[in-house]
Amino acid sequence: MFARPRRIRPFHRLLMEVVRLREEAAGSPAETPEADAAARAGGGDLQARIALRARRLPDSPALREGIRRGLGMLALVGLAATLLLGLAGALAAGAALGNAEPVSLPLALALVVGPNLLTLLLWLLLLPLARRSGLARLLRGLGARIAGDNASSPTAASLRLLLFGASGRWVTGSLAHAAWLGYALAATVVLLVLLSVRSYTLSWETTLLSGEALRQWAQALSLAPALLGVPGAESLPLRAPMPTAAREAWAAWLLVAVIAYGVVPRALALATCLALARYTLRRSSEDLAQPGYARLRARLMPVHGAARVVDAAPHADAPEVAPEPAAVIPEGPLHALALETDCAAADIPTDWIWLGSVDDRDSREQVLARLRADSVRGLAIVVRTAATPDRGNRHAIEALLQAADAPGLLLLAGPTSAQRARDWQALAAGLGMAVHEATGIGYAAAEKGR
Amino acid sequence: MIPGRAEPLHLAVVGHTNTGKTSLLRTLARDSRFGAVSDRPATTRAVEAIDLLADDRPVLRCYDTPGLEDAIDLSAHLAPSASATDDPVARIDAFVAGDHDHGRFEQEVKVLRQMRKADAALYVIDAREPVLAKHRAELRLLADCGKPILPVLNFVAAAEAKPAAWREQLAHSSLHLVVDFDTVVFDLAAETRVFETLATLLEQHRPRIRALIVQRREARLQQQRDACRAIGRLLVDAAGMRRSCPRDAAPEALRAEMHEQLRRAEQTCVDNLLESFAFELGAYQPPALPLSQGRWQLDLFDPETARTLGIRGGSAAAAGGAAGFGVDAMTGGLSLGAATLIGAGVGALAGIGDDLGRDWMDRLRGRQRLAVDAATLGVLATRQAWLLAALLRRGHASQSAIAADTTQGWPSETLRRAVLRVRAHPEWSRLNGGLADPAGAERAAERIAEALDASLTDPHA
Repeated sequence: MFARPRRIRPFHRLLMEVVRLREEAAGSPAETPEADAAARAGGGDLQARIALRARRLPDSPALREGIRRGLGMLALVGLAATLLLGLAGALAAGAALGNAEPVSLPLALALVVGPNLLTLLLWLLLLPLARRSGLARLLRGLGARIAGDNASSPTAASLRLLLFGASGRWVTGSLAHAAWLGYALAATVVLLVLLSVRSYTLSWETTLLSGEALRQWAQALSLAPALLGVPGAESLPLRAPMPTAAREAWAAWLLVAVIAYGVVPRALALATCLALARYTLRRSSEDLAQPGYARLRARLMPVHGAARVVDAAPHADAPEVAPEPAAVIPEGPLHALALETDCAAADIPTDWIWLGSVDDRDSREQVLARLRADSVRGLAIVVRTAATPDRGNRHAIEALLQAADAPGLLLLAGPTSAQRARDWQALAAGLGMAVHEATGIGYAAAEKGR
Repeated sequence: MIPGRAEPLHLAVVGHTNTGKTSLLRTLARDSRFGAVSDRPATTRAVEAIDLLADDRPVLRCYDTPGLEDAIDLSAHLAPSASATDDPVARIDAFVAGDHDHGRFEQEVKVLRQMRKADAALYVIDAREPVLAKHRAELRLLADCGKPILPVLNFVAAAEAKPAAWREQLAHSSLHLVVDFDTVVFDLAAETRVFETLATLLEQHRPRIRALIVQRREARLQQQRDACRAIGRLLVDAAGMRRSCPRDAAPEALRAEMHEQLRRAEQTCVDNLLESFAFELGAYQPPALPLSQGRWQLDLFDPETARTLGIRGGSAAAAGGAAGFGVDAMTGGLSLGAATLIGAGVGALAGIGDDLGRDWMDRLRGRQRLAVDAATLGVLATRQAWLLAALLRRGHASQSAIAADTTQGWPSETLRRAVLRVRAHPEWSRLNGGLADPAGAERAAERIAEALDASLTDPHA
């Protein structure tokens, strides 16, 4: 029954969020009838419509360009950092093998992997504190200064979102991991090259540690390479002189250890950060209760379609008749009746001729017959002023006046609003009747009517 | 179901003139711009159709018809050709197809034509009117169209309403299902009753009417949740707000700036709330709000505000009437520690630690730090909760009750704790100049919104 939620590309989610932040800062969503209409026509759930609206906004191309540039700048920074750290990695690998003979395996490993692992550990430790630490505040302040200067520029807005938005720390984390991955990869490559083209004497050396302790260290370090299928301290000799086969095996071990302790953790961290950046971006753009999104709901998810006329109004009615001059009511007893209200003979002057209430067709016919038969000096019609005068009333009064062939008097009975009284007066004017407010009758009649 | 395949249910909205047919449709469509409404006869002259959607598909196609005005004469016009064996429906059809007395009954014919095309009709009644012969004639005429009719009593809450007399008359016309629905005040429960009764009349359409009911209810809850969230965001921003200045500097200018920012943040929240209840506010009789022209009358930092809202424990400065109410200077750990302990209890213990640490740093740097005090947060939370409760209040009974409403401090203890806990998180506030941590802020706002939502349904939690 429900359409499958459409997938929204991360780029479009960024666009949604940039628009949301801008509109929240402005206080209310911009008036964008075309984009709204396009979003409504696009269908789907509210989220899909918000995304479509963001894409159809008049300045959407500029925003997209801004996001693209923001992403491009981040990529550039990431690339530069990767190259720099890659160079550092290459130098570290070169230094690790160095010229000293024999090459100490633990030292080489520590030189190549150590900085990488240490910074990774530091990052992990700081992660829970990142939002509150002075560093983060400093960064935020800095970001505010950079982005605040030209907050209206789409590039600044998208950078702001990328670096300090919901997914900010994962984006910055990804950049850092990418750079350190560069370090680890460059180190691995340089090691591979050097070990391929030069002959090194590899060994486990110690001055302080006992042979047993060294063995334990070596075995512990060999755990990860062993998982990758490379034999380590449990099967290979630790000290020089080593047979050639053992040297080759230790060289392979060194390479694999650098991959296992350098490349793999960073690659995992990078993948995790990228996934989390996407996930948090997704979550934030799916949080439709945020005022910037919530206020679009009524616009984009209409509960009714467009109204349309299916049966047009008749052309202008009979042209407005000029009000006839109000009839002059002669002195003396009048014929009187109540239209669609019950008032009794007791309510009117005693010398008037009371015809009763006119309500349905039969009572009207009777009164019409009586009026035609009598010679009528004037006809008083009592109406309940609170009622809305309708065409039925008008036709009835018209017929009664015609039958009476005498001046008419409309008695407005009962409490009313000014608007209603005007409606009745307009009706009376159209028929050339005089109008009186007859509050005395009114109250009695109105009370009885209840 | 394939969208667009299912024909909507056609519903004619009929009735005597000026009974509120268009108002009823405006309420059902949640659009105060539909048609034209006035307290005059024959405001609607054309038949207008409007679709009520559920999941983007039209469920009900409602036709707003002109009022019946001349039913007695029309019945008389139809009667001569009638005999006992005549089919009344055929007679109506013949009349509609004919010249209907040279257009004299043009307006009535529009109604009858629509009745014949519709699956059912809502017969809107002004319950303030007495039952008259013309109404009986109307009912007969409509009954002759051979479609199910659901009478809807409008204006039932008026003093002069006569719902009993109307129900009796309707029963005489074999119309036993009647619903009250005041178009004057928005009331979702009443609307649901209309739809449910309609589903009873039109059993085969029940699933789709049901979908409409569910969607409407869902939308209402969503509206409430969104409003709670907007309030939650305001409270997160206010609770985490901080300013610092050299210890020996007089903080008055900073205070004034904080006051101004808080006032603006509160107004943004009020605007968000009013916007999401735009339809209810545009209704004929909008809910009575404690606002004047979309703004709170009493200033946020007026000590009177806290008093009327039942918020106790303003800062000492407030008690003395000094300028300083609403913002605590956190000099040393003492005032903050005391304030948080009194204000937040266990929940804010983390907050003390955090801010003590910062305070220590500030003391080294020779600076004092300003934050919003608990009483002001209480005023912010309570006022906004009050406004939301007023916006959500529906139906006549609650309309009259609103004047007597007094708020008694924080809406709930859970909410108070949730808000005061956020005081330890300046990094979540958007009012601190820098860039806030949005993910944490939104989570905190959501927690506060949940507490507020719960307090709305069960104020004693």
